[in-house]
Parts: sequence; C-alpha cells; structure tokens
Amino acid sequence: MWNQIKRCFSSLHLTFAGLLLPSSTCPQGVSLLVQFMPLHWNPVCRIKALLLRNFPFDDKGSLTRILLHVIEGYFDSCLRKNGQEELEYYLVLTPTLMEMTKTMEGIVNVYLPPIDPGVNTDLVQRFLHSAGLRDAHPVILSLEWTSILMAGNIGDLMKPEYLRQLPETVSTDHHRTRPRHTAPRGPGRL
Amino acid sequence: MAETIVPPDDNDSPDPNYDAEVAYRAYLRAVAPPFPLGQFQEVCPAEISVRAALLQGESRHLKRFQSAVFLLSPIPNTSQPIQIIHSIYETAKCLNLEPDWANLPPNWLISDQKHFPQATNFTIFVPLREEVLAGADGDGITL
Repeated sequence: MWNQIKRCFSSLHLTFAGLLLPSSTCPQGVSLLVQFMPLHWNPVCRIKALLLRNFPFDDKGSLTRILLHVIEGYFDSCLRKNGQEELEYYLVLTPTLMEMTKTMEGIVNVYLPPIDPGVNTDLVQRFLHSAGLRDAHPVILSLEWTSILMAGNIGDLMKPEYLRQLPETVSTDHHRTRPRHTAPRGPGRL
Repeated sequence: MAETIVPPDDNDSPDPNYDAEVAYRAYLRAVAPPFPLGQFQEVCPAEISVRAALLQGESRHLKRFQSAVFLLSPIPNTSQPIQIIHSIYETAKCLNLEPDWANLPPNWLISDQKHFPQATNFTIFVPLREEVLAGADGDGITL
C-alpha cells in the first residue's frame, strides 16, 4: 500500500525519447508538474476562492512543496479556528511566466466545491473570512524566509506595487512555518 | 484537502486483455500522425528523474485520497499534439500510471482542453484508466 501512494505534487524532469529537433545537439530536458486531483474534483463546476503567488517553480519542486504544505497548514488552522474545518478546498498550482521578471513562477488557485443555491451560497465568503481575506485588499503571509501574497483576484495578485514587497528569491537557510498575516502597503493602505 | 479514503474494489478486476502500450500506440496514430522522416530523431533511452519528497511524514498523518485524474503542466502553447502525447506517455511511465488512452481527447489544442491558460502555457487534464491512491501534500511518499 505504501509504495502505491502517488504524490499530489510531483516535479518531473523528462527528456523526451523520440522528440529531438534536428538543430539540437543535446536532449531537451523538460520539467513537468504532476498534480493528482480527488475523484470528486470537477474541472468544470469549480469555484475559485482566492489566489496566492510567489511559489518558486524550480526544477526540484522541493521549496514549492514545502510552501504548499505550509499554506495548507495555514488554511486548515484558520478554518479550524473559525469552526469551518469541514469546508473542503483544493489547491492547484499553475506555472505562470512573469512579464516583469521573465521567470516562471507558481500561482496557487484555491478552489471550493460547487455552489449549491440555498445550501452553501456563502461558501466563498466563509472561506475568505476564515483565511483572513476580510476585505477587498490583498494580504501578505510572511514566513520570514519568504512571503506569499494572497488576493481574491488575479488583477490584485499581479500589481507591481505588491510584487516589490515580495522577496525575489526564496532562501532555504531559515524555515519558519507559522505564517504571519499582514496587509501589504498597497493602494488604500498607505 | 482531507479526503475520505475509499478502498479499491477487489471485484473490479482489470481487463486481462488490455494492453496499455497497444492502447497508447493506437491513440498516437489516431491523434498525432507521424512526422516526416528526418524531422525528428530518436533519442534513447529517455532520461527521467523524479525528485524525491523533501519532507518525511508519519503515515498516520498522511492525508490520502483516491484519484483518477492528474493535471500536467506547463504545456507550452507552441506544443504540437505529438509532443503533448509524449509528455503524457513519459510521465505515466515514470509514475507507473495508466492514462485512459481510449478516452483521451482527439485534440489537445482546442480551448476546452486548455485548462488554466497562460500567456505561454496551459495545463491538461489527463484521466486515468484505474484509480490511484494519492498523498495530499507530498510527505513521506516513496515511488
């Protein structure tokens, strides 16, 4: 049973057999991210609750895995504190090329189960409130060795003024696993 | 991310006549016609490395769930169908998975199949023929 478990997030480094352009002199390595999803995760009926950025998309994937672990712990803790521990959510990491830095970065999308009118209409609000996103402004989760920006929409997530408050690289020499919740110095917060 | 563990159904025995390699070849022929001779050359064997999990957790703390689909990313927007199929094939071989070749889409490049589209890449949704047990956070997993 043990060795049958598949990682939810796996980073592979593949060199394709049978796919080498004639102009290339060495095999082309490709890094791919594999994410397993639960049986009842529906790619169509999904509700995006919030987004997080500043996940390194390195070949090893180790730092990203740690960060996902920390973020999951943070959400679990927040939901428990607010009596919402039964609320299910799913994290999907999307590799994204950043225009400003020209680097590949991971953006995490947090999805909730489908809204069932009359039953769980306030699902998104409950999750956002529990996670600390209580108004329209993004927040920074400070881990000391890095920071994660959390926002309700992609527009806020990509604002340059917020990017400047995030560290450019993740340092591995100091890991603190309890996120500190602060508001970024963005518009309306100065 | 906590999920209810559903034990595999022992009565749901796999088809003894199913040949994954034959299914893959049939899918490849149907969806991605071969390139003209000389356009690509063979490189064997494939160099594949799977990164080990960094965290080592105890099994009682592991969250597990049944999965019958995986997301694969990033797929460059410039990819040709044969490259996408090779990505699926190599990934599945590396992780010992069985994609549901017979039911994979005939065209990965239409918008319906491009999940989480970005400026340079997108994500594809690959159904598996048989369920696997997945660990939610990558702790203590041995491949």
